[in-house]
Amino acid sequence: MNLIETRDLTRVFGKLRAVDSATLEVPAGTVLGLLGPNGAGKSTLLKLLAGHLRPTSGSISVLGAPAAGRAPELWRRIGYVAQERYLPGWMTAAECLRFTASFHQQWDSAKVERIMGRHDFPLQTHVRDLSRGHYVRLQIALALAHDPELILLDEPTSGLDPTGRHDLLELLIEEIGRRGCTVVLSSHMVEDIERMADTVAIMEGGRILTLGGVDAVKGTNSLEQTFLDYVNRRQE
Amino acid sequence: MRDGVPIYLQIVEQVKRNVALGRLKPEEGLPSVRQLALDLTINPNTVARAYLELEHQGVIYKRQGQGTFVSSQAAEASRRERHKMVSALFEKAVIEAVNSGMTGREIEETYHQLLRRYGLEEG
Repeated sequence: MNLIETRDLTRVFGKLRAVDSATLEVPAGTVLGLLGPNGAGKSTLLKLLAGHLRPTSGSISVLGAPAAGRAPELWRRIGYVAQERYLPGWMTAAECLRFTASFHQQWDSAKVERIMGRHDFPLQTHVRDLSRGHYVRLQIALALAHDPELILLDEPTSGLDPTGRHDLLELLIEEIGRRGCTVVLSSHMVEDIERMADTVAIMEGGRILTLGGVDAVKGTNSLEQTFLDYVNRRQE
Repeated sequence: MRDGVPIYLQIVEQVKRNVALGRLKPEEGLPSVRQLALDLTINPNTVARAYLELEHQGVIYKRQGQGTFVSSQAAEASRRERHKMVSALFEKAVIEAVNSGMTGREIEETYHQLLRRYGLEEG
C-alpha cells in the first residue's frame, strides 16, 4: 500500500517552478530520503505533502486522501517538522507543548519527556530564545507526540552538533522500528540519507532526477558520488 | 560504512564472518532489529532485510517471541568456511617457506615440531 502518491505534482511561485512534475510513490512503512542542493525543491515538496501548500497542478494523495482540503482527522495522522522557525516565539516551550497537546486525543507524554528531558530542557524559556538544538527537539516532540503514521522532516539535522544529530537519528530509528511508520526526510547530508532511507529521490531545479532504492540508485559508487554525478549532469 | 556495498550486505557479511570465526556461537542470540539499528544508527528496515537474507541462507533463525538465533547448521557451514580459511593460511606459509629456500623435509620438520608443541602429534 502506498501512503503517498503524487503524479506530475507542480508548484509554481511566480516564474519559478519550485516543484516540477514530481511523480512518486512511498509505500507504507518505508523511509524516503530527499537529496538535493539548496533550492532543489525539497522543502516545497514536503510542504505540499504536509498540506501546507496547494499544488499548482498535478495530483497528490496522502494517507489515501487528496492533500487539498484535508480533514482534521488526517492532520492528526501526520507529523511535520519544517526547516524554518514557525512556532510562536512569544510562547514558552511548556506552553507550546500544552497548546499543541490540546488539539490531539492521542498524546504520548512519556515520549515527549524522552525527547525533551534527556538534556535538562529549558521548558520555561520563550521559543524565540531557544538554541537551534533545543528548538529542533521541541519541534520533533510536537511532531511525534501524537504517534503519527506519516512523519515529514525537512532538514532536521542541519545546525545540530554531532550528539544532537545522533540523538535525532536514534529517535527516528525508534519510531520506525516500534510502529512501522512512514517517513519522508530531506537532507543535504548524504550520510543521513544513506543511513536512514529505503528509497532516495535525487532532486534538482524542482525535478526528481532519479528515484529508487538507495542500493539500486548508487550501484557500486558512493551515494555522494551518485548524487554529484546527477546534479552535475543536469547543470551542464 | 563502505562505499558501493549495500549496508544490508555489509551486515550479512559481518554476521557470517563472526560465525565463521566462532565469535558467534550456535544458538547464540543476535541483537533485536531495533537494537542493532540503534547501535549502527541505520534504518531498522535495513537490519530487517539483512536478517531476512541471513535467514534465507540458513545462518540464523527466528524463534517466535524470543528473538533471532545463530542456527546449528550455520556453525557446520561456517566450520567448512573456516577450514578453507586455514588451508589458505597453510598454503601461504608453505609458499613463504619455499621462497625462503626451505626444503620439503625442513617444512615437514617444522610442521611436526608445531604439532608436538601443542600436543597434537599422534602415535
